[in-house]
Amino acid sequence: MDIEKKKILESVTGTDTSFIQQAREEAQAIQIPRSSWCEAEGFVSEKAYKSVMASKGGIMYHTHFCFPDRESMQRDMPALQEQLEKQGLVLDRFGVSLDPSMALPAELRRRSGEKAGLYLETQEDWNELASYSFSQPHLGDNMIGSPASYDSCCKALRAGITTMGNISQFFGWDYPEFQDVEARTRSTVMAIAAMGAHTEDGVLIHSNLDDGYGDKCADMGQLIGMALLEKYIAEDLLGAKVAHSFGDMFHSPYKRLVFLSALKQIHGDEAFGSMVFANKLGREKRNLDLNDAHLCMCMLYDMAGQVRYQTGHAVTVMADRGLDDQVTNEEIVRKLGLAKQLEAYLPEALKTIHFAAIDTEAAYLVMRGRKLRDNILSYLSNYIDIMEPYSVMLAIKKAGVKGLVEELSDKMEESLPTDYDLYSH
Amino acid sequence: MKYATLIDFGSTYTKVACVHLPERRVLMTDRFPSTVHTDARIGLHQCFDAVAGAVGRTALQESLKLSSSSAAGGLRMAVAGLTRSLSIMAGRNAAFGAGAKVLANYSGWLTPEDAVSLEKTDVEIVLLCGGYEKGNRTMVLHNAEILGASGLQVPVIYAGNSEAGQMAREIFCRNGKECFLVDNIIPAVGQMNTGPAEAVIRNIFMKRITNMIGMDRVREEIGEILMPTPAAVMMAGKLLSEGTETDAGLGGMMMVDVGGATTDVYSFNKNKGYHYARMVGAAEPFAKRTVEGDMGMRESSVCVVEEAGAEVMAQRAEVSVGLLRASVEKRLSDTSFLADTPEELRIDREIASQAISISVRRHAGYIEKVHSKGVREIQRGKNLTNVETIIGTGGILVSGTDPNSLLQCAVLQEGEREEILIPRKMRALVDRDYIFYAAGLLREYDPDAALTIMKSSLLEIS
Repeated sequence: MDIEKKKILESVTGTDTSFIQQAREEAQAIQIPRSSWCEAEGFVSEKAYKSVMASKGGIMYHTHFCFPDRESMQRDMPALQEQLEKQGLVLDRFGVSLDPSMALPAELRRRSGEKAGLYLETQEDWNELASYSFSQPHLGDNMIGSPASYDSCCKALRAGITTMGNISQFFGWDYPEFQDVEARTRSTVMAIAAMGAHTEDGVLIHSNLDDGYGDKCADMGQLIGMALLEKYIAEDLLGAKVAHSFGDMFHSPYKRLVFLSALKQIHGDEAFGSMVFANKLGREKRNLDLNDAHLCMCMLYDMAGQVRYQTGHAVTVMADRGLDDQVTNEEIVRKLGLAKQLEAYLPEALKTIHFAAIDTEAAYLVMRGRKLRDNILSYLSNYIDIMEPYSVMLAIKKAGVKGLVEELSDKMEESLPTDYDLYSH
Repeated sequence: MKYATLIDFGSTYTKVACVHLPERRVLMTDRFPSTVHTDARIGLHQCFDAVAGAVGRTALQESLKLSSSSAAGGLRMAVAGLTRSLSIMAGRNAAFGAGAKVLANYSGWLTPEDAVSLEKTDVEIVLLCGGYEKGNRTMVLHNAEILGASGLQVPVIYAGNSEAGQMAREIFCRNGKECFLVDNIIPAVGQMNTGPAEAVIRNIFMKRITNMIGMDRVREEIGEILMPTPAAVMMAGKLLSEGTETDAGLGGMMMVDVGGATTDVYSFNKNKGYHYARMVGAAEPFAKRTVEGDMGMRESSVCVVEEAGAEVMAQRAEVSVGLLRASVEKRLSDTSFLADTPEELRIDREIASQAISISVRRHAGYIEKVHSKGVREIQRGKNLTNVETIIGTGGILVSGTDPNSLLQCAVLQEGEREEILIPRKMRALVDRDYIFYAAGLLREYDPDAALTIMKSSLLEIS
């Protein structure tokens, strides 16, 4: 037993956690409005739409914007809507990059330097994100899991934004400007509790597993283990619903389908995705158009996965800029057009995929993941109350995911390795 | 009203569709195993919950609610007419058009033995027809006497020569039997008037449906069951063919629904003479439905094999005759059987292709060569040779592989006699959302929305 870890874990006790119930009660008072998109589509919630689309194997699309400011958003979004309508294309959901300072509590945020992304000050600023009738907003980074989790979560809910992340970032990211891990944990748990108060309204906590654990999990079974741990904390302990996302570090089409199958196995009929990503960063830097190859490969197999598993994950159409460079409307339209062309090949492509073999492989991931989750919880139970979510989250954060995964993974069984090395096949 | 909640109480599934009326699109569809034999409210509430999940409870409560039912497999009818070619055909058209299924036909002078055999068929209603206006009365009154004196305790619809109507009704009333008088189905040569008979059949059907368990409470929540499901599908097909004032229809078309027990064939086209043939027999309706009760994927698969021939089917499915027969036994004993091997999938496809082929050929008319002065050919039945669109619905056509090749079995094959008046070439589509019953229900309220949702559900597969 690692003495350092023992000390860390023993320090994670004794906190008054009445703030969780308080957060729940405050959140219950929030009336979540329907976004403009929900109103236009006629669905009571984003989750209801996903459920219906998924049940008929429908393909949904997602892209991401890196607007430098709100003026750019106000200029580009209506123009994009017009272009999409002209081409008969649909963009079901969009994500936006918030300025990194949005992760910090408000008082620290204002003091930080020049803004590099969307900076939302008032409730109206948040509302604006949900004012576009042609697409539903999604908020990923620097929301739940950040030091400003609770405040941002409540503002987003009040705007009608009902899927927000990124819970894996709590465990996987750090904020040098904010070192108070207890306060950050408190805010994150409060945010999850707030989401849990509105599970019946269809709200979902997004978690991009690659973001949080990509460099900490050497194999896919371990990644599933972390998904299960998140599920335990957010769903079992706090009553929320998690939508797991992945894809940046999955180059192999086989592995993409195996992982999706595993997510379906752990979530069952309650599987609700956010999205599956291609490698957003792009492998080709000089000639960006060459990234179309990777994008199309990902899209075709991700579409096949949706037809088969019906998890409601959107297929993403970004593969070359990451989340720092803004793409043009023309590029988005072009890539949605590519996706539409690919859809025609889907029925024949499905015939070439051996789903039974994929599901069997996925079952091994799930077995390995369950063992890891159980081992971690069992280990923690020596030191903390594992029914108490604040303690569990703080303990894992302090102990470190990488160490826990290395020490507590089953050493006897092997599993599919992740494709973390971005440039290998 | 923003939404319409459209429900079908079937004998296998209770189905629901929610339609966004202003935008004329289907928001969601779902289905649940039928509960009409236990309590229909269970299925109703499952449907309501599914719609509420999509649009919210308030929107559901405010939505337009319409429903259809094919519960208990459709009204069981017998038709007694004077001639096979005229009154029997007309009676069958009326029965099918109203959504019933015909268990027995009798033509000519009925005998007491016919009545006894009829009593054994478990019919629920008898359609007695025959005689033009100012035409034959004797035979139809004789048949009324035979039926009146029989042990049958079912309502009779009299749709024959109206001059004999009151007397026929007195015969039945004297014998303690209920009798409905409707307009003559064949009032004159070349004329057909099945509407009044269909309306009465439908009303009796509705009354029977509402007597099922839980249906009275269903009525409290959703209003009256509007119509039998086949009638809703007929109305939908007619709308899709004809279009509305603002949106064109598809023109002449056919629909095929291959089910477990039956294959339903619908055609929507004006019957015209093939080449110079003289048309004889009962006038064919624009919207025609036939139900082949011996052509199904499960309960009646053995009949398909008997009709088509086991050796032929086995060869086409590339299996042994023994395997084919054993597979059919499996389907008979377990109607929920799902084909799970390549051989079983081929057998399923072969059963479907034969069911479609045989059913369409029974539905269509044919040319008879004659040698009389001035006439070389006579046409009996409906000419479908100019129909070029076929829509498939039913499990194997919507979710199976290569439904196009199955639907193309409705087309005249190489080497086949040209006397069979089936289509010569076809554009094939499938109703991927199972939305036709819903469109039929919606038609009276918003025909443009009904037409739009059907067109959106169609997927071209040829």
